[in-house]
Amino acid sequence: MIKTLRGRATLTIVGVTALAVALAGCANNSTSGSTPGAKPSTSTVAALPKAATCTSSDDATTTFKLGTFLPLTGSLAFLGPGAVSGAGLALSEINKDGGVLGKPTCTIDTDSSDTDNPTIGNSSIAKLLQAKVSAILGAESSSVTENVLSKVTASPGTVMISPANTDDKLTGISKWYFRTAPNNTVEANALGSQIISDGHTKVGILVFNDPYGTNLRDATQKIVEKNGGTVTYGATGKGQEFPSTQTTFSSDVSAVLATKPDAIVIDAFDQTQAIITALASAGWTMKNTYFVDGNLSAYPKLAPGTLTGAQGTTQGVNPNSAFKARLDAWYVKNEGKKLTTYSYAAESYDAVMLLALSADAGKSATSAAIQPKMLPASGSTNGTVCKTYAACLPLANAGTDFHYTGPSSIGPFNAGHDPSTGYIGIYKYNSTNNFDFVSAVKG
Amino acid sequence: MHFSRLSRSRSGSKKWVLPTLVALLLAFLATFIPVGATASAAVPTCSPDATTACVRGTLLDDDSNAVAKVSVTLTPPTGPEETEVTGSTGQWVFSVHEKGQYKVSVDTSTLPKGLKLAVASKTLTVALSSLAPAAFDITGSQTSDGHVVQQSATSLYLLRVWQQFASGLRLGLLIALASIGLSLVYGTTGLSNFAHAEQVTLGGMLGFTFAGVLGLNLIVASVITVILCALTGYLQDKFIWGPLRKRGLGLNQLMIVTIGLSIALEYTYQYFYGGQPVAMTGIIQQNTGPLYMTPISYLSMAIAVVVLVAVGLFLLKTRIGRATRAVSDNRALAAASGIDVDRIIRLVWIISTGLAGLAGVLYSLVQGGMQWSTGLQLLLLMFAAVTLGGLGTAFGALVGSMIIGVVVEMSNLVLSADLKYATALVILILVLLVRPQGILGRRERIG
Repeated sequence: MIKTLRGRATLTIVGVTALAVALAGCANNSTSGSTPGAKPSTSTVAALPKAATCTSSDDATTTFKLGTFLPLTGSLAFLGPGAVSGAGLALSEINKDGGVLGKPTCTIDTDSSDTDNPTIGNSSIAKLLQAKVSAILGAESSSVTENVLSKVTASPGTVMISPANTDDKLTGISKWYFRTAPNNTVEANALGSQIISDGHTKVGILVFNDPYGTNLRDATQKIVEKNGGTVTYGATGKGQEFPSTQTTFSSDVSAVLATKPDAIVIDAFDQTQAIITALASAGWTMKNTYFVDGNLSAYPKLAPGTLTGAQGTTQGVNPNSAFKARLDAWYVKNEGKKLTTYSYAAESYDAVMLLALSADAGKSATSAAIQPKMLPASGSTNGTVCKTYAACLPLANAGTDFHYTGPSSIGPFNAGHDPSTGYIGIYKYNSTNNFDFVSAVKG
Repeated sequence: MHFSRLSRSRSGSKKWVLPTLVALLLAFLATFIPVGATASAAVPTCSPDATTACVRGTLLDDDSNAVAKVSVTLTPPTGPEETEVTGSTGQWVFSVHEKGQYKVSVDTSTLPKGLKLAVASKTLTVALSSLAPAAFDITGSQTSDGHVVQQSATSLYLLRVWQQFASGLRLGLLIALASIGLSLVYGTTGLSNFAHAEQVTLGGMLGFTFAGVLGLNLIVASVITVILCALTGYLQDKFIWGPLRKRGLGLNQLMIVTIGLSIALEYTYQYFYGGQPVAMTGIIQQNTGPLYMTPISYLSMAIAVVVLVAVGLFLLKTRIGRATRAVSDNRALAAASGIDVDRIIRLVWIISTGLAGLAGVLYSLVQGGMQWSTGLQLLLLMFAAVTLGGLGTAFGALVGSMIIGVVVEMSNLVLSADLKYATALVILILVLLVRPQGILGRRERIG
């Protein structure tokens, strides 16, 4: 009896989910068409199957075991799918091209959640370390990484590579830690320059009290002030940051508008939709609003035209349509949903490629073998440039220096294990609350 | 004669109808065409790459209106000067292919009358594949009288105080609506229901399902949502709380059950509705009226007041209401005097979850969406409100909620914005030190 009830409930749930997915699909189809040439034709790309989940019989030295530590729940969960698809696609393509050390790779997927739920992240990390993974991909949030890093780097040490961390405090924090996202001073430079060049000198910043938010704010404020602008609200040391658990923003919006800014930067995660609503209700001209990588996302639930003209910055160049189509096809086949964001997809893809090629070059799938090969693989020794796993693998096997360059277009790792150069993409929202690529600047 | 003149005048007016309609239609359509979209095509565009950097800026006056037809000159470290005239967006941009020091100057003689520029030239250090911005602070305005309408700092501040007070009242009323059920359940059963917050979230989520996904009318969707939420109260009491009460489970154990239920529900919402807020309608209304709020906010506040008064009258004036208060006062005595305590408790659960659902719907409409975690973030405020007002009393919950709402929304006028919840909780502690039973609570007899 209980079983049938549950079965029926599951059916209903599946039905409702399918309906929701179908509806979301419709909405996305109408929006993605607005980017000329970027409309991916998923039907022409053969989707690869997902890499298998590691089992306890997989040997730690011969099987490349990737532990993913990405936000599947929590306040960053809306930016998780991009990284999941990037990492998953990379593993699937590696397996298609012969695997690592001649064996198929496997994966253990865990949830990093957010800073408000540290227990989830801690138990995920414990699980990954116990499984002796070759390396860990994650986390997206800098503060989550900071919470778990001491466990990851404790002897014997495991390589951890983040596709999205931007906190400048993480530069050179440990020999085991790498990232494929440029640190936030690079993004702040692009964001601040964009604001100033749009003619805005009085900038209000709505920032939440999280290291990600405040560090990006500090760096942006420096660029704005260097170019003759002022920060009217949310400046360093003014105590105007809002708590990350806040859900109502009318008082913050009243406060920022009372300082008469020319432009407003929303420096937050998933609090952003509520902030947009409050700003729009108060009559703020939305085209003078700027988004950051933590909230540059499509907002299909808002009325069309709400965000027209607003701009935002995020790491990486705009993924080309062929790469997007591969991500789309992989995600639909293996996760059963349509991909809504490409944020950090290229960075995750490249992070996994670098780990796999380092294992090949180090002739072992252990972190100890991977770690010393990461810098050369990223191009620090000016090796032969190669762009795919298939092209780099023979070089890695032969022991020749190589330089992997992938879709994220980052420069080689520097001594602090940050990308020495990186691109920041500038995007503009269109009338469907989705955003189009404008230009990319190097930093 | 008379008749013909009438008909002529009628046909005469008809002649005007069509052109007027066309003009109106054109004017209407014109509002949809982005201003400056065509003109900006005349301004050269620049996209940084390995061999290109962009030197860019935008001339805006004090009203943030574009300043057009101004000459801007770029002096490169080597080679000839370049001059450009700003377009209708006020933007100017130069593509350069060499790094180094560039001087940008604005020809002040080409500025429109009434505008002034303090610093007319700037030197920039330009690196390739980057954007070098230059800001020119133009003072003055281009409006017809050339006079900038500046609101004084004091009036802006007063407006802000008033707006935040109004948002405080609004938040207070919504918290009151949500927390009165929490208080009633505590009053009749002694249970601190941590999962009550998820009942508020459920209201927003079901509202989104019916209005946002299935496209039902907002009012119909809200009514269905509140009925379904009330139904969950009935089912919960029938299948969870009733049996647990009969087995004589202690209040502490029950409270742990509610915490577990709260977390389970929260992540169930995230699983089905995703991480981002879901809204019943995507339409964003403009703030208006004396409280400077959206029309839906006024309506929500009115509904909250009416429902709260109705609940109050129900408790004071009706037989069942008096029975509820009797159970709340002394359960054993109420049972002994013939009141069906279990029936009253089930009714309280139905009312409590129904009101929470209504609060969720109104909160979602007012704040532009409900997120999987919104309820939990309100839970602390709700507990603070009912404790402040006096646990177990309906009117206490109202008074407590209004205080908490106003304090939360107004504290950033004097304190760091980060401390708004902390301030509310400090007030709670201070009030409890002076009046342990809460503002409207009864003093417990000890011994």
